[in-house]
Amino acid sequence: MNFNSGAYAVLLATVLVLYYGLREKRRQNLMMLAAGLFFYGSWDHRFLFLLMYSSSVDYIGGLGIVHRRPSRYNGVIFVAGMLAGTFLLCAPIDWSAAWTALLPARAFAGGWTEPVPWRGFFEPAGAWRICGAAFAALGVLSLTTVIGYQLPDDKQPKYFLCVSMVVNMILLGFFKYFDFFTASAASGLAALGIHVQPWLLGVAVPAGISFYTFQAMSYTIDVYRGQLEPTDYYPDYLLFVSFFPHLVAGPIQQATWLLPQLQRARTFDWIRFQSGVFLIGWGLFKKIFIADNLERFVKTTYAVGAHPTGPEVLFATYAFALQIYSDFSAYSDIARGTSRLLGIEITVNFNIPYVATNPGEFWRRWHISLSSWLRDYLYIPLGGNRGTRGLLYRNLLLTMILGGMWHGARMNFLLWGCYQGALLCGYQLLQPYIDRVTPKGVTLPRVAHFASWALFFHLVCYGWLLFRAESGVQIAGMTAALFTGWRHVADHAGLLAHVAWFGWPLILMQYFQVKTKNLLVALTWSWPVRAAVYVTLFYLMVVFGAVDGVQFIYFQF
Amino acid sequence: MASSSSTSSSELSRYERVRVERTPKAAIAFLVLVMLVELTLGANRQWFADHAAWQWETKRALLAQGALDGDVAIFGTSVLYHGLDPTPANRGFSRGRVVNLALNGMMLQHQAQLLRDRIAAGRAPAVAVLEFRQVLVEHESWFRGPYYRFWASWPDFLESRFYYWNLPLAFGFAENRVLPSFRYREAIDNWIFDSARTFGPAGHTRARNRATEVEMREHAGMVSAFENRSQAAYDGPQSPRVWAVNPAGERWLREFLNVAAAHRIQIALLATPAPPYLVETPGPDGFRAQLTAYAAKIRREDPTAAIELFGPKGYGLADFADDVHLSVSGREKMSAQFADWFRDYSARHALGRAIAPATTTPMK
Repeated sequence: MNFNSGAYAVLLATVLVLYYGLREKRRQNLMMLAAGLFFYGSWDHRFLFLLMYSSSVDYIGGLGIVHRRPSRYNGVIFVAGMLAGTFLLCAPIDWSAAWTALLPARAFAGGWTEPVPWRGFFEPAGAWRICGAAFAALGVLSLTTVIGYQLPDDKQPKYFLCVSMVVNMILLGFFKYFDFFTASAASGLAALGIHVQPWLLGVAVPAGISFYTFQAMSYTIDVYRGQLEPTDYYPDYLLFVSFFPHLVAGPIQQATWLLPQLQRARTFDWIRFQSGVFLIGWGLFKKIFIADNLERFVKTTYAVGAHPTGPEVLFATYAFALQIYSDFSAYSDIARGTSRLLGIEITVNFNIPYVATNPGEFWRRWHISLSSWLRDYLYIPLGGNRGTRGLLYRNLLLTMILGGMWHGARMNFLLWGCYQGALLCGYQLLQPYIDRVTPKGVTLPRVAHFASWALFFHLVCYGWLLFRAESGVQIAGMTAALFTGWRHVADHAGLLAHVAWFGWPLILMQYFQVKTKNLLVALTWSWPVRAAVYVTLFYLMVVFGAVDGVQFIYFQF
Repeated sequence: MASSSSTSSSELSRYERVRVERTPKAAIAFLVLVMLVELTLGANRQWFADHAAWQWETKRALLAQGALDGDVAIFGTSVLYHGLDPTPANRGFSRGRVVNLALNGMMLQHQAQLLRDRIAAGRAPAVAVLEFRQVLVEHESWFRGPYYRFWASWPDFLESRFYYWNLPLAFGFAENRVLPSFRYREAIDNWIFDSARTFGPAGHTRARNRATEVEMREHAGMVSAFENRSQAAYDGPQSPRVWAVNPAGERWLREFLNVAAAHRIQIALLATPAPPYLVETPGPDGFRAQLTAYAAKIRREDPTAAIELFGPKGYGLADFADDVHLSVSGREKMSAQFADWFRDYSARHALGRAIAPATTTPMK
């Protein structure tokens, strides 16, 4: 279910009506939890088990860290929910037959579909192995929990933290990286003359697994650090993980930020509501008008087997820079807007990243929720910028490599992470010289500022080439192509014109955002100006937008 | 800043500030402006409407005006819409009128619904000539083309039972009805860029749409489309002509026949010709045998309805524009053959005097 689909509009409208109808916080939470599970299950209901399992480990872990156990009532809810959920999600139940059996005969009166014959509640040749494995995993969880509570008090926190980390990393590693590492190992051995057939799982990566796993880990770490009181009520914790606006593609919310908001009563706030509607509208515009239109040009140039010239590579990479920013920030905006309609604040994920003039600034503006997570839970624990310069570079590189690999198990994400790490290290290396030229408090001349911006923007763009390319061969080919074909640059002016046509509203809006240092600058304009802007954006979207419901790029991560 | 406004950031992130207004004036003005734009676009759609949509629109408008009322109505797809001109038949049929109600992409369910609409409007034909080339209704035909964009009413569309499977389709259906800008978005896009190229409002789309309207009016619903094919010998692959039936097609053909029977509307099936490179396999599995057998099955199911089958013959390669559509010469040939067949048919069935056939009962 995409944010830019009618299905999401139906879900959101239903949730809003129920939310403001229910009034009482706990009922609202249960309703939002149901909406989140439905939202996630609309991709593949079987992956809901992973979500539930991961969150149950962290729920237990959180309580175990502070030597607490769930109350009897909450424990019963937890155990019953897990058992029922595991059975319903993992048993080979023939849902399509069950669904069609429930439908009246008139459902088939359109004539274009035939009822699925009733073959029993379970699929005749259904695999019970998955169900068995799921219950075995529950058994392991129970066992580790029992063992944990038997440990001395001083060892319990570390034990439960480790269990939580290990289980989350196993889930992430198994579903996202197993095939990558086995295939890489096989090709490494092949290079040594040892040919082995890699054992590949071929399992689809569960949507948003990187997002919710990182978010879940932040909970146990925060509890371990004593920064957060663990929740006793499992549905609240599950809601924290499965809160539908940000479930699949973030922003990754740290538990200390989101969980308390879910646990307290919310009130309707007119400012939030207005800005929420604006964020949803602006997000849809960025997705439908900018990102999905630019996708066509990017796809052509980055197609496997294409042999683009330098200008084509450059212009298509500009297009991709705009596309990925519009696409991902659109998702974040819609998530934040939706959340605001429900009275819950989600952190800002993008703060005009392309105005950055150095890598440090870029990462403070781009995918802020991930870079904050990496900073708080990886970079600083590794030592941060304390210690020798060598350690600093190591920490930066490790953090960015993990950040790259977080996106997926592909060599180009690894390369992109290394590249970003190298940019950060390079900047750290040059920092003393830069400081000497421009001491603190001295403003750079405009030309120098523009030059540093332009240089860094193109470095970022080269990073996007690494990110977008399909293979190492393509990266090498496109990098080499960058230096060819410039005599005929005028032949490709059309591509640049298209990028400009689809990018101008974003560039203009960002100009005002930068000028006022206000991401919601449009909401400060006088009402006639705002009305004119809304009408313009609306018709650009309706008439020129790509309304095919293209999936968001970050859904795959 | 208006006196009712203030700037607040208390509930937002540190990167955000908004102007607070008690009444959302910008949103109200936006809605009013959108309404004005939509009304303007709706009233002037002749300027930019794409041809496919405009033909459906025009046919609906002419139907509403009564300009396509007739005793004999032709139902079908683009094959008959562009390939059968009722004018020759009308010249020899002084006691009534033949009209072409076929349209591009009009499948059996759309035809059945149109027949019901004609009956409900008190303008039922005495004879329905139904294109009989295949008995297919594709699932997508509920969700594509002008039918989905503006032709179908809500009850029509609900007959697809789509809501059991894909409720959000209702959104697209509603959007197309509420917003002409959405319904014609590609056409408006083209028109804007055409106008930009010509530094003024591009008028060729409007001229084409006007010409279509005139032609449809003058030719009792038919609009020409295809040029004559080259006379050069065909050297492409030969392929078998396939008779295709699916359950949805059968369900909606049955609906059409039942509605016709319930209102004593005579049925004639028109088996359209095919180009010579589509080879009809001989024997019981061949196209002709299966088509004839299917027509016989229909008659068996409702023995009281005198359902006739008309199959024009003698078409060469030059009579076709593609695998199914007739060229100009093909259209002229079929229109003339239809006129001849119809003269005989109207005499046999005493059309214009006592049109009603014997009492019929709906098919099971």
